[in-house]
Amino acid sequence: MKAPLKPLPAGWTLGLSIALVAATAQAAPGTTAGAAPAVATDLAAPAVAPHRLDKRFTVDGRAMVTVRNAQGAVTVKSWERSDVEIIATRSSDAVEVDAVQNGNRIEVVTHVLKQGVSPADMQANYEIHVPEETEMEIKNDSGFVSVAQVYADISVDTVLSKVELSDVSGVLTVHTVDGAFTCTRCVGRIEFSSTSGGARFIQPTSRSLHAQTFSGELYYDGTFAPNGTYRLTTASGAIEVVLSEKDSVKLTAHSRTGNVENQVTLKPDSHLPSLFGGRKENSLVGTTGTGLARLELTSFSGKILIRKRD
Amino acid sequence: MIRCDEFDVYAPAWLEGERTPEAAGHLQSCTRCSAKLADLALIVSASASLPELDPPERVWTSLRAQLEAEGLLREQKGWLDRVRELFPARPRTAFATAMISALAVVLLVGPQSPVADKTEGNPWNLSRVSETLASEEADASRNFHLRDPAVEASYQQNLAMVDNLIGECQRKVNEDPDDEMAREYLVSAYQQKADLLNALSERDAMGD
Amino acid sequence: MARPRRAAEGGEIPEAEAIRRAQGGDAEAFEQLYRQHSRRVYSVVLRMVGNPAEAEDLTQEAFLQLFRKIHTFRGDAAFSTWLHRLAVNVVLMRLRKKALPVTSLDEPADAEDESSGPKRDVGAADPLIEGSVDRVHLERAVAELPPGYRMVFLLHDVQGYEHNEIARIMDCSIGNSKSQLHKARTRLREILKDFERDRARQQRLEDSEKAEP
Repeated sequence: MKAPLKPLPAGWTLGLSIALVAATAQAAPGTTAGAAPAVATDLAAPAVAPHRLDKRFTVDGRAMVTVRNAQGAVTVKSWERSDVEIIATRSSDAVEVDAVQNGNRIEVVTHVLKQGVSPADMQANYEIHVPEETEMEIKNDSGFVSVAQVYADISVDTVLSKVELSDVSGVLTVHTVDGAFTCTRCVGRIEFSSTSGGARFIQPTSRSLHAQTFSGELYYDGTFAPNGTYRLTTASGAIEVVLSEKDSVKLTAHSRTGNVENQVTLKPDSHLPSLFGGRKENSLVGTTGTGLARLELTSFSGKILIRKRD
Repeated sequence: MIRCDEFDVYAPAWLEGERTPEAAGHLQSCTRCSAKLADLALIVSASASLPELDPPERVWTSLRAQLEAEGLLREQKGWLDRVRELFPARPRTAFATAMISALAVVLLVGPQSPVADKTEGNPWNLSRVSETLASEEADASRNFHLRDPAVEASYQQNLAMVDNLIGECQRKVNEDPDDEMAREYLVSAYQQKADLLNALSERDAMGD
Repeated sequence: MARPRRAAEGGEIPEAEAIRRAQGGDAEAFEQLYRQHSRRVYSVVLRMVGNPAEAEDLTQEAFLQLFRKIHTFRGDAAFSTWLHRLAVNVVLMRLRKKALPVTSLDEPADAEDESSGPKRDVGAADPLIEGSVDRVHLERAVAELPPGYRMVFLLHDVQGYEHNEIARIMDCSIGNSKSQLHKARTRLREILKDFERDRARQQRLEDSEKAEP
């Protein structure tokens, strides 16, 4: 359940501070007598530079950072300090960036202050540095999300954002409507779900990977751990997996109406009658090595390609 | 007659109560495996009686303090809050979700389910669910206005895409009600549609 | 079917409702869920790490993670399964940090088999574990199991989870869970017999010392 938007935290935000200062300021010498001080509408930012916020929080133990942003880039990277650093820039005063600490939880929120704001004016970008074992929960509707070198559970929920996780380790959960996901050298349990976004898994180290999308494409090029389970499922999107005869995989591939193309020698090498009825060319069951990992590729109408590793 | 190392494959099932002629035959003549099985049964029985241990109260005290510090706990709700919860803000979207659950029961349990719509001859005809969701979607178009037109457009496009899949799967199921894969994808597509509508509803409620 | 949890006390609400309220931040609901599940979590964690202080710390960590993430729980798995999955992850991460060899479930199936023990004559009867299994010895024997075996054993034989539930908790296959359980029980048998032999040897030593003039 999403937390409701918080009211303006009293006395914290830069915008409000400027408003208070401006409201009580004396008229500067040389100004036209009777001229009202600049107040109210354009408080937060100087006329030319975007507003920037730089805040640090000390945390003790395993922290959690949550980010709620409508539009923009959210970049997270670990560092060796025990602080959490939030650097935020916003493009207009139509939004306000806010970060609050509650114990070991840091909540970062972008508030949209006005109705009818254009997407360009809604933009807020975050650059976040965290201790490496900080849990991350990010909701960013559109733009870009990147997390690198964080070793704790990470969850990303977006509509359109492009999502990149690299050199991370933990339970990784990514959900998009249309955004693409790239997962590079990720370690741990990986779950990806989308409607039309695709995913690329490059050199992951995982014993449990579940990826599903309706029309996006899925690509996997990595190792297969003994007793691991790897499920890639689409409705119409293509699935491509790179496999070697040295891998130890029990493979089941089935597309109801799309083709299943295999370049790897399997034991037994067979196109069995479709598990669910249909043409033989749509199904494939076989083993490489001792078949310790399970690889299940399923599509309704998408093409499935098992490409041989060079 | 199976060997001792082959019996080892049957042993776990034997301990769960599954008896096979091969295993029974081996046990009659092999004192070694009989002894091993008796020992394992003793261990299983004794293990079930190992006590469960309560953590000290300080674990809860410390946990609660941490939850409070992180703002995860809030004051106990009053009676009015509880009443409001009975009538959530988007009842029709919640209803759509309930319809999906009923649909899943129909599709996965079978036409004998009381929820199955048999009125039009084909037990898999899901016209009622489809109509409910179409109504939800019409509401979405009229009443949900997201701040970011690109996000709103994405939802609309994806809803349309899921609708196409629903149509395709429904046709397959109508042609062959035993088409398990088509049924599973149909349930999945309806679930996806309900998820998209719920997400749209949440974003609209948040003033996105 | 997992061991039944403590019977609901007066004033407790159904679990699904408690979860829903906890998702809204209801403190009483949090506490109810903690009270209902903490004993089972703590028991597994304590038997995995062997140290009460560490077990308390890890139990707290597991529940903290649970409550931080409870808003993501969609009810597509049993709540206790979901919670145990979190707890298992917390334990495994701690054991990995200690650089202990963890999760024989990661290793090929024959990495730890009983062929490493002394061979016995085929057909000769092995002495039975005498009479009954002493609880203290059983706890000691469990503590000597490799972590991967121990976890499956605790979840199945002590807590009563079925293999399909264990597969979800431990991210393994049902077949794998079954084979690891059998290996765990077989190893426990060997350990218990070693205890008996040690005890018998100690007894003979004491008897011979008493017999000496």
